[in-house]
Amino acid sequence: MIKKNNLIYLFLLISVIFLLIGTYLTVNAYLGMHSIEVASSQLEFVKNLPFCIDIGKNKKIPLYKENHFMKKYNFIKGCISADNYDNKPSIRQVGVALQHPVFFETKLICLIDARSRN
Amino acid sequence: MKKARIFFLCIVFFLIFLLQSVFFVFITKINNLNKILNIKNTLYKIILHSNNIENEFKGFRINNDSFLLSIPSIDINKTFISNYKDIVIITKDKSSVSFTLYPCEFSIRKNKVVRFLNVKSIKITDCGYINFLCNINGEVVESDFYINRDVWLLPDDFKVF
Repeated sequence: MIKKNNLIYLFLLISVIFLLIGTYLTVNAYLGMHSIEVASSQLEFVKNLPFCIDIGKNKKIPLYKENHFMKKYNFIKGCISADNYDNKPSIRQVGVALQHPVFFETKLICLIDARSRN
Repeated sequence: MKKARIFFLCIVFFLIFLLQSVFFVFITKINNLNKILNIKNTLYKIILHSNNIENEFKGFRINNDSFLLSIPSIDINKTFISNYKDIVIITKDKSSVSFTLYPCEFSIRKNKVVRFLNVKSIKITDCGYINFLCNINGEVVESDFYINRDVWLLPDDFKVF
């Protein structure tokens, strides 16, 4: 038989584990929401400049101006990359990826009309 | 009680206290963040629909803490009514931002006020891209969005609020 005291200790330990997971997910949700804002802001800049990123190359963000969030939490790094969508040169697939600490990543992908205009 | 058990309990209660504090802080931050994103989305929708910035409306004169935007009026069939416009007043009081819609007499839109509390500061600059910076309870969000139009809605580097 398991002693009553030991059972209480076991439940305490389990509650700590759940609390740890919950806190971790909450922190990551917060960082993720901010990251989506940063990534969407960067995509807004790139959306109208389809040729500013070379295909297959990664560029560090922020690209054009400093972002308040990335300045405050400097442990969050991100990059922006471009590729031809479905091997069609007229459509570019631009992706912004931001890495949070420990296993999490926020990635936004946007398709851009890359037909050249004269 | 054994020393080891007391030590174990101290560690567990300390961890629970610490984690709950972190949890509480981040839940509060997420709430503030949601409020800011709601303000941004409301502003984005208004700017998307509007076609002009106004200087005066029924005696309401703009100052440093407010600005007026006009939206083309629509009738019950969702067609534009020529020469009529609905007005949106965006104002910043001491610690709140409100969006007030005044429709014209034939418009299908109804009077509506959306108010956000505890807004410490808000800055909107238009330089092709609209740069939105808002601070609620120390939570600061900076984001940019682009409205595809030929005429800039706000004057260049015009700081509102």
